Amino acid sequence: MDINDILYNVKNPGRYIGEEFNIIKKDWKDVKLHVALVFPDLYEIGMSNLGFQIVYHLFNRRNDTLCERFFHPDLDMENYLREYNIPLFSLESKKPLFEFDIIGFSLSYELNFSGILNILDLGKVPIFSKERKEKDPIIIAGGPAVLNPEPIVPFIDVFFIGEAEESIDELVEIYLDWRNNKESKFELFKRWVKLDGIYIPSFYDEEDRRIKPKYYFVPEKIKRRIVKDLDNSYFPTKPLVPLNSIVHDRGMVEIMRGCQRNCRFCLAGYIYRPKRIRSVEKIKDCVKELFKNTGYEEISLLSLSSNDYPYIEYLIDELNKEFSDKYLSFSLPSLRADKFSLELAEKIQKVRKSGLTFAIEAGTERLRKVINKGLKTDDFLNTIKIAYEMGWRKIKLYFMLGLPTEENDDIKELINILFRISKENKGILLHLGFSVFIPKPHTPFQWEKFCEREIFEERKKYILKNLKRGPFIIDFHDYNMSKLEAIFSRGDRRLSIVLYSAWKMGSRLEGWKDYLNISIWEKAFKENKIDPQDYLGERKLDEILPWDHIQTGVLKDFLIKERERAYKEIETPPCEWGEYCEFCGISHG
Amino acid sequence: MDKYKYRLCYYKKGNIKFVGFIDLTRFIIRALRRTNLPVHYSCGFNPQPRISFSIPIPVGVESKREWIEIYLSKKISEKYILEEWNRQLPIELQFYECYYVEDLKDKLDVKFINYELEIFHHDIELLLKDIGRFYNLKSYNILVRRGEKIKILDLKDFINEIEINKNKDKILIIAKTFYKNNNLIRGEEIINIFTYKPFIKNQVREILINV
Repeated sequence: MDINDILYNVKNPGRYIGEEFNIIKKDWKDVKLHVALVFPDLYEIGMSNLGFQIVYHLFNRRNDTLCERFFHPDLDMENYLREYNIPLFSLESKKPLFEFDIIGFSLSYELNFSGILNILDLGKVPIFSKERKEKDPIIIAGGPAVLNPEPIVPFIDVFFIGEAEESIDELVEIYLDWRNNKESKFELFKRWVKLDGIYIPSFYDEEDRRIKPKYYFVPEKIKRRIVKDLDNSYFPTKPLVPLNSIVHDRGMVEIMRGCQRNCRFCLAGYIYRPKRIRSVEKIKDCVKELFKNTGYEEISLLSLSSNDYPYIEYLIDELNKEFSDKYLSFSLPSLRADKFSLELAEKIQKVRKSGLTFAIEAGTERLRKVINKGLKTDDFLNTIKIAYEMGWRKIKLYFMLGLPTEENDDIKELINILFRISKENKGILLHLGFSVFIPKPHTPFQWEKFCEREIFEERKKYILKNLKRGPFIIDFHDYNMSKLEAIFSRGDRRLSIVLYSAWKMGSRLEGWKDYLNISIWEKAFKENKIDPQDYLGERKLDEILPWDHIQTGVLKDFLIKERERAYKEIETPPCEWGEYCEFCGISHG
Repeated sequence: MDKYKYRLCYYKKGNIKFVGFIDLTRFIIRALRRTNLPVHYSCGFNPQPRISFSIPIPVGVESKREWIEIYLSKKISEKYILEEWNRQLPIELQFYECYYVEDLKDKLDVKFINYELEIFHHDIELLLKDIGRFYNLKSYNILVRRGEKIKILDLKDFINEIEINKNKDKILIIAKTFYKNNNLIRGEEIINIFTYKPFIKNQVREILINV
């Protein structure tokens, strides 16, 4: 049985064929370096990730390098690959994973971690770093999930912390020079570790939970790489256009990186600082090129908070002016629930009218002060009212349960507000999404506990019971999935063995509700005598945290101060360089 | 606004056969949007390019000829349309004929679907015998699934001609079938006429229309 025969028998075979428009296929003999870029989740998720596409093109724009893609196969495909002993192959040249020089994992989500082990195993690469020989590929991992790399340290040779745009050429140049000299991997790592953002776990020891350098040439703390000039940094305007439908099947232009809002629960708000913008002219050029090269019907103008892009109205006017005759529409993610957002939404929907979504996060103004969401109840009610008057009938609202200081009264108040909305806006349909708050490292809430199951279930029951009659569609995120994410988000090295056991027992694709089998994980924790509760409870402020050696640039003192303010329900205004600064530690210059 | 209708046919082979029909249509439309062709759009809240596809093609099936109709807002040479669109498409999917259709009311009228089924089978004689028997029967009813429904179709109503073609090391079932009242027979349904059903290695179809 060959790959072609297998494709007849698997779900969505188009995921494995590698025939996307703008695909880059290079001759292996024509280049010096072969990089496998891996997204350890299904194709439809990985292909929707902008960071993944940026790195793909950053490598491929070099004449001496090729970069080919790998995704986690779906389970039916995995079974065939194992049954017929076919090594996992790249989409571009169908070469097996073990033939590549460097394997780079793009990690956005802790529940993709078992995918690292599975993909290495399917690609016939030894899973543990210590088992890999000099001839074996070098495994690098980057992406937002490696801001706490410790749970996957035994599997990865090199971590890249931060933004890749300005670093890939440096890494490649050093690699090629090292290979010419025919030295050991140790010598390469010794040279790489001098670069900012490089964490090489084999150069560190763990002593009393503290990660300490073994050698004099190794930095004690690893500084996150930050792109200073976003406007002139590389952006892929010839992205891969998939044949199979994917989760975010549209073009993407990053208009702004970083966020000034100080939402205390938000990882992205701390690990992408400082706020940097792309100029209107550059965005226009990107959109023009993107349209020409993809034919997309919609382009998403990406940022963490669209309202805060300083020229947002002008930008939308300009884009509408230039592209409406091409039937190209634009979307803005992360709109704040205020009147300005509605004006933007109106402007942006000149071509196509879509839904309206707001992340309210917490039901009461008090709780929103705790998390620093900065949204007054009256303002939010008023926004919904205006949206209703403007013609929107379906509105999606997102909330989190289990936030620090949350009480049953906050939930009661939320129910009251939702009924008030439905009464004041007859005929409105509210789609409510509830997730569980996950304490993330590098945020002011990194010391908080994860909500206990009993409390979550009680609040869920209360919400479902009280919203039974009314214009509501209600979704709850899977508690087990969030719990596992919470464990790994603040995990340490000990978790790697749990991860390995769970994978060995057959756990796969834990980010998918249909695939997550929590009983495997319970067994894995038990077998390894590790109590998951150790990772879910509240942490002490003076405790050594597993990610203390990773520096995002935001000071720990600032996080502590923000946490104190949260408990006092004091808001922190948005940062505005040159006007208002809380001195988080990030340099803007 | 003026509109001009064009009818084109394309082939689809190789790995592209593994792409589902809806995904394929989106891919072809995006390719069209990348060209400079003056595509005519529908009006309303959600304007769409005026394009229509002939019968959906199942995943895993290659095709020698599928049909598409598009409306443009300017009259343009057929050759230019072919060149522009093909430049945006992979070699496994290319347009190769284009006709200007003067009468806007003239609709795509599918008449025949031809199949070439490459099969594994150890006994050709037996297959030929089954074909002979099939020709002599008055009817040959089979159950087929169409969406959520199960239907009874008479293969005699659909199969016009069927033969076995041994070509080098390939054994092919060649069948010419009718497209009737929005009903069709799928390639894999044809092998119901055989006592020992052969295993289909590859399936190629061709859609023929009334002109």
